[in-house]
Amino acid sequence: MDRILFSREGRLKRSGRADLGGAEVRSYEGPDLISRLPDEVLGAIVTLLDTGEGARTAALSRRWRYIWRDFAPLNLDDESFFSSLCFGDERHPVISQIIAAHPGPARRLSLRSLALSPYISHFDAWLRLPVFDSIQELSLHFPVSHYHPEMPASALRFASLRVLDINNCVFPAAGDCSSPIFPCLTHLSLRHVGIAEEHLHGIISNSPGIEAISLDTNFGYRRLCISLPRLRYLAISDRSFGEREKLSEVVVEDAASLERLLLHEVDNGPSVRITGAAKLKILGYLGAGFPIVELGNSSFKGLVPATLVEQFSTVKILALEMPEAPKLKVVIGYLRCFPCLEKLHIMLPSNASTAASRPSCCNNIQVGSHILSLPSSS
Amino acid sequence: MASAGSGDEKAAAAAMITLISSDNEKFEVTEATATLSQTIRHMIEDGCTDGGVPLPNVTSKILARVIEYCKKHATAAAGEEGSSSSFSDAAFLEVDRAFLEELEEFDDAFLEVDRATLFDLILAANYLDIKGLLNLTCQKVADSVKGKTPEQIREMYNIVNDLTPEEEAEIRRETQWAFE
Repeated sequence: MDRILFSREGRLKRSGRADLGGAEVRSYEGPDLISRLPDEVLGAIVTLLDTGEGARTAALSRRWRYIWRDFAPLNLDDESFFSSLCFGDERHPVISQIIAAHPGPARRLSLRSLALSPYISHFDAWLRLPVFDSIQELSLHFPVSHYHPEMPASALRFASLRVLDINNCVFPAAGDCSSPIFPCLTHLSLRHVGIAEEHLHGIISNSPGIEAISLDTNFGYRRLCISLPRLRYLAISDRSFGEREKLSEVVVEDAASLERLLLHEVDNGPSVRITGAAKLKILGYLGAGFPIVELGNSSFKGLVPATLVEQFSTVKILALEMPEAPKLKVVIGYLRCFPCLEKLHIMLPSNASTAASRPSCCNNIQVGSHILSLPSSS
Repeated sequence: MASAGSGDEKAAAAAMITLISSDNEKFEVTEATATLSQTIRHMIEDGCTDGGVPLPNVTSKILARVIEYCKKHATAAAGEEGSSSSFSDAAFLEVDRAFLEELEEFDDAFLEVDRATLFDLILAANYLDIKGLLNLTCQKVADSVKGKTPEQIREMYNIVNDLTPEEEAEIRRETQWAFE
């Protein structure tokens, strides 16, 4: 039995005049259980709120007054904060005010609402502040533009980072600083980012605990060679048109923990070679875009299993990108390689005539142990 | 690449630990399950788990739930301790979602509890230092107040506003940007 029964919205009781400056005070029928939690636990809740919402909890009651300031590590996320109507010139003073109101330490810094070039001195000054010395998460997203501004080197000074998430800029030139080192890094996401091959390899090889990597349409490196025993997630996509130096070869050695290998939106993508992926659960999208995917001793060229040495009995979900409606022969060929599949996603081009009757271009085929039903393509 | 040794087999061979709740109920769990708790991990490292681990701050009802969580997450591989939310990648969501479904479904169902139990789980996760569970339960509370005004939050959690008008005005002045 639960000890206390709650009404969903603690019913209000007016208690008339109270002793607080003559103000009318509301009290509730249910007990205030949340305020009994210890300070550091309330802080752990408040730090998960958006920056503004976190700060507003100070106005709940005396118990809450200093929780955001003193017990909730600063979670500075500007995207949750500004309406799309407000301009950069109105935004950067607010970011400075937030930093001034919280003594730190900060847990997370996520700046996604300002362009880098006009405010580069602001960014550099913020990033150098001691309040951010021990941040675990850093997201810097800049507006999409053809010109990629250079990120200040101060963005790469955080040795405690677990999450590094950068969009639309270039890393400082390799000659300007040594490779940044993030020994605690678990998540790395780079999208539309220019980074020198030696820099990227430096980051990855100095971060043995990386569990997830997402690389989307970056430039500056051709070859990516990863050997990360804890890597569980690798996502690579490329939507560029080949005007820049781009990824042409991915090698993942000894991928002992790799569970999800996602390759997406690639028309002229890299060849991918993975060894030792004994835990691979999800693989996709295999499609015409990848020249060669090698898994262990087997290889797939385009959509066709080329050399098939072993069966991939750990793979539960497979996604295929097909240029036309699925051909039974091809699908059955795949099912032979992946005998323990539970789900098969097939992505069709949205303009394929056979898919015209379907609003979505993605089909799910549930695969039983022996029975397969394909949607009719008529 | 073929069938890799299953995690269950490994777990079965592992040492067992006895946890004792405040109301003296005994729970036997594998070391892999128990060490999701940093508090218990340290006790094991210090070699003081013989004869069972007394947990005077956790009732059997809550401990049973905590163990249920740890069992599920111990087999789902170490390391997923929140933070991936900021990493969600729209391009891959479709496939990703299918993969995450099972663990997320478990977590969602796990959080279907009344508020008193939720707070007890938070306190237990804090005491046992189980990061994933603390994050999950705190996130549930955080989600419940998202988008609400201070007055709505007070109503929801029966928080009595004992601030004087002067104090409230001062808070608004100190963090004016949060109230605009």
